[in-house]
Amino acid sequence: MKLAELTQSTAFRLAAAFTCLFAAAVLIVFMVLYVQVGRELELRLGMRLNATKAEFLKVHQRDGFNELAGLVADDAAVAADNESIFLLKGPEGDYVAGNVRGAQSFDGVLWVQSSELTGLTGSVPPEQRYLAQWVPLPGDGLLLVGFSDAEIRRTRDVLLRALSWGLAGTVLLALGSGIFLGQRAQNQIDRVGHTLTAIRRGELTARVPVEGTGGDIDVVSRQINGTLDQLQSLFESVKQSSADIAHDLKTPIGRLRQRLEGLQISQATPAEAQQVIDTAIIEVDSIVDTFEALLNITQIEAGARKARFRIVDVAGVVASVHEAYEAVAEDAGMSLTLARPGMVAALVRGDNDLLSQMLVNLIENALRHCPPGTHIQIGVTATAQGPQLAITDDGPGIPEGERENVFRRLYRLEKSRTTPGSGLGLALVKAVAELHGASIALADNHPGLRVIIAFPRFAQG
Amino acid sequence: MRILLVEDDRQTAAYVAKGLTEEGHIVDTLSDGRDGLVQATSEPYDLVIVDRMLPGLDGLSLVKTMRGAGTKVPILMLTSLGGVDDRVDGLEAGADDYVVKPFAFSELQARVNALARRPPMRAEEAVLKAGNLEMDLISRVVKRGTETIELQPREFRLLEVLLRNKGRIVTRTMLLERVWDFHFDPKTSVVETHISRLRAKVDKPFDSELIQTVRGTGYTINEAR
Repeated sequence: MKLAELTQSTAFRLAAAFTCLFAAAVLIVFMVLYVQVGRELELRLGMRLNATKAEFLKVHQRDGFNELAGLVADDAAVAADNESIFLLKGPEGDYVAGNVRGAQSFDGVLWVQSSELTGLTGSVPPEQRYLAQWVPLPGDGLLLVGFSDAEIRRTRDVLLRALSWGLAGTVLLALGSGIFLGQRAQNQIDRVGHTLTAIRRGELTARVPVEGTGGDIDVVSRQINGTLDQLQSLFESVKQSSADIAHDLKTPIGRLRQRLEGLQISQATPAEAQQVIDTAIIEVDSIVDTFEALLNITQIEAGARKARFRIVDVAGVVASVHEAYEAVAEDAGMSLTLARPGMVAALVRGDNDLLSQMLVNLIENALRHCPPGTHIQIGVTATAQGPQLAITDDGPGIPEGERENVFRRLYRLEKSRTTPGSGLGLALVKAVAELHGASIALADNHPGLRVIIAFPRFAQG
Repeated sequence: MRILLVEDDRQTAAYVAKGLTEEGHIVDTLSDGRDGLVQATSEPYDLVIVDRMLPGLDGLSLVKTMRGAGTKVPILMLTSLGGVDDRVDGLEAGADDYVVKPFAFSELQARVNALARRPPMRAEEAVLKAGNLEMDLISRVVKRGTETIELQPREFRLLEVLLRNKGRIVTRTMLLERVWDFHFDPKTSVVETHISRLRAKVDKPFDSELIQTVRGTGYTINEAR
């Protein structure tokens, strides 16, 4: 990744902002510390000056000028590092003792630059200052006492160094982690980008790698992958159904054309022609039916019908479909009965027409594929999860490996290729069930088939 | 009777107009929705046939506007294939019935006849009759001559629909809608099965058959000949 890209990444920008914030916080803390410590040290220096001054005055008062001069000389000798300055002047202003030879006179306590002092022996940094005061000795001259700010400067130096290192460390740490996090996030985003580019190029199987750390980007990645899965399956279903439709419609259209062409070239009698035309119309109607069913399934899958959902009693749907089909089953040599628990009201939010059609398709499927003597039962049971609609028969059933396939559009079991039916009935059943948020399961009824459609529990309001 | 046909597809319009004219109706054909609305509200028609998809003003809005203007003329909508919601939309807009394209002319004809001759605003009849068959809608007793016929609820409803359309053809699709409330086409013979059961009770035991099959279209009930 290029630096320019890095600095534009969200994570990096965030890190940079935090760096500034932390640095500012560190700076404020140090400033306060620096000022406070400096003040405190100056205060202490002033107190020390006062104490020393008082000490000297006491000696002068008690032991006289000469004793004081001795003490000053001793102190001046000890103060070799020029931490403190002393200058004792006689009544005529002449030098008596001290490590300073001369200094300007002033009133009160003041800061004196070391350059303003003469006679200082040893090395003294030019920036060194002394907090000093001229103390008049009653009748005997003047005494200059001063203490250097070396300690304050040293402390400040230490503080400044600590601040610099601390600040540098903070900035480095924040920037480093920013770059690291930014780069990591950017890499993950890049991977998402690469995946989407691959998809755009037609590699529909490409998926965003998921790190498994459960981070934000992982969550997004999983969602993207879920969407891609859904899109891929939709795309494949569309591809599959276009191919199926083309194949399934080509055959009857071809047949239709042959019939009409046959009629065109033959010298058929009007009665014969009438018969061919009748068959042709039936053929066209069946093609139209297939189209209608396909379009219906597509519309149902699109979900717009949900806007028309009302509260529907599935038990009511079962009862009315049973009423319509009981006689039909009887005529086919089978029986269609209601399971007893089918009488309880089973409310779902749904579309009455579609639910009727779904149930009709399931019953017609059983009627079409089961031999005479088959017993078909329909019923609704209320479960804690919601109403369950069950259609069971003791016919031939569906082999386990085929159970998922039968819901595909235009799919028909090999053995039923010859029986009538568009192969769309169960696809519509599945579409209607899914529209209602219901799950659909095919199971072995030992013998026969058991279809269970489990609706979600009806939530009031 | 005078029929206004608003349909933009020339071939369909010509086919429908020709068929209805042959039936003895006077048909005015328009292809634009806005022209259709003007014509329908200014001229007295016995029936208006409107396509769902029209240039100018779509069929739904046309019907809504007509109804909004208080026009009571029966309206038949033509809806396109696969329009799952078109039926409900059409009926909600104020159409009286609908036919899904492509349709057999006999289907359209049956619905046109059912709509056009619907007695306007007449009070519900209490007894429906055909020959010596009597259906009392209040006591729900069916008699042929003096003999009472026991009918299942759906058989009763089936016979009622046929009797209400006495002398007219009722198509299989119309029966599915009006008797069972099925707005789709079942692949099995629901209608045929129940008609045959009904016949076994209403016609078989007697010397004349009232329920007639119209081949490829539907059924009709007539006065015994």
